[in-house]
Amino acid sequence: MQTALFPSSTLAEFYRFALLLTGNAKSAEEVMAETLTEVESQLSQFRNATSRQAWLATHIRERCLENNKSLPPTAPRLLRDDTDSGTSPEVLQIEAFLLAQRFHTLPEPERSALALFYLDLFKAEEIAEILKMDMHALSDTLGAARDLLRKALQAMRPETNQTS
Amino acid sequence: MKADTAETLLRCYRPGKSADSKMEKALRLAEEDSELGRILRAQLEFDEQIIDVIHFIKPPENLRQKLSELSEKPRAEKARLRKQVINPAVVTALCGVLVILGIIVFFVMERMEKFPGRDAVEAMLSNASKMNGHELEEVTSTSGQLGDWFYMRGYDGFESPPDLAGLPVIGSRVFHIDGRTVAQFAVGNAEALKCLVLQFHASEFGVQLPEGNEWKVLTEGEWVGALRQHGDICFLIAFRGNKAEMDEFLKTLPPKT
Repeated sequence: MQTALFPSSTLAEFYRFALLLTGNAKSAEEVMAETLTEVESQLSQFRNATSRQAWLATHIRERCLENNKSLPPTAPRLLRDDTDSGTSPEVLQIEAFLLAQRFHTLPEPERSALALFYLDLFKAEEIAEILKMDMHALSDTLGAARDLLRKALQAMRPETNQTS
Repeated sequence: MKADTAETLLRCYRPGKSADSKMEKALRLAEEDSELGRILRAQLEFDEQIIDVIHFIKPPENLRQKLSELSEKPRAEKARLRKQVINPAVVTALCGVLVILGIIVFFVMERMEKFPGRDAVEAMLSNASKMNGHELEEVTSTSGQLGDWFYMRGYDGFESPPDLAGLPVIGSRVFHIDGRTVAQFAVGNAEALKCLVLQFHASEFGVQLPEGNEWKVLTEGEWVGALRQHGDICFLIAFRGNKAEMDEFLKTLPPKT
């Protein structure tokens, strides 16, 4: 598989992207593996790293959305199940868990736009291209996504206060 | 540049990423415009918090290896399955299962074909095949009006179900097989004989078929018959032909209500 084409930091960002879109660590890994397998022959044809990354991001997003269709969004499960390797399951940081949980409730394309914007992979123009929208639409989408995420996180506060 | 244009542009701003001239203008405007500056600071603060939290998400340490394993899994499973299928032992076992299934299907079909009294019905079909037409008395009627005609000739209890009642009859007779009475009529017109219909008491010939509207089709030599039982009465439609032709003929009958 063509993981060698990507530095570890880039792979990590793609993993985060898949996780924010699927809300599930296992699904994120599966989506990445399936996408890399599917597009491995095309990836080596790109000479420009950014184009290659944009191509991969587009396919990961498509597969995540497809995955979300077949598996209706549930509360994200970020507990990594590494039973095969014999290590004990690892729970992601609680803040990350809560954020991913709220992130997962965002509609599309707001969720994809904000996820791509927050990851160190693409410039705004490239994100607009991946999402097939113009810069004005991306700006509106990002604004709406921030508002939705802010509201979702604010709505979470009373719950956390009650439980603490 | 207007403030609202700048605000729109600044939504796509991330510190540390290269900014074009328009974005730089918008940033300068945000420094001068207190309201725009407040909005931008709030946005940057929010983004920073979220980015920090997102980067708490650490991929598995062995992500590369995991991805390779995950992508290899389906291929390996396919290859293993293929290998197993072409294994001579598996091929032999599959053939054995297929033969056993074939035998079971054959016996089930045989069993479905057989029913008590089949021999007697086959004898009637054989008998019909030897007829030359002179055995029948000329009649011009429909099968639904033959009750009295048959009663007068010694066949008691003639029934004419709705799907057969309208058939045009050109000849009929009552005859005996080893002392058991059979009513028979020929369906057709002046140009052609379409079929023969025989009616008899099932109990006299030991025939037992499931009750219902289903016709049981059977062949004897070059003749085909369709048999149905209603109470103690059996109806047998017969003509020279095969099962497919009989199926077609049965479709032309009006529905039994």
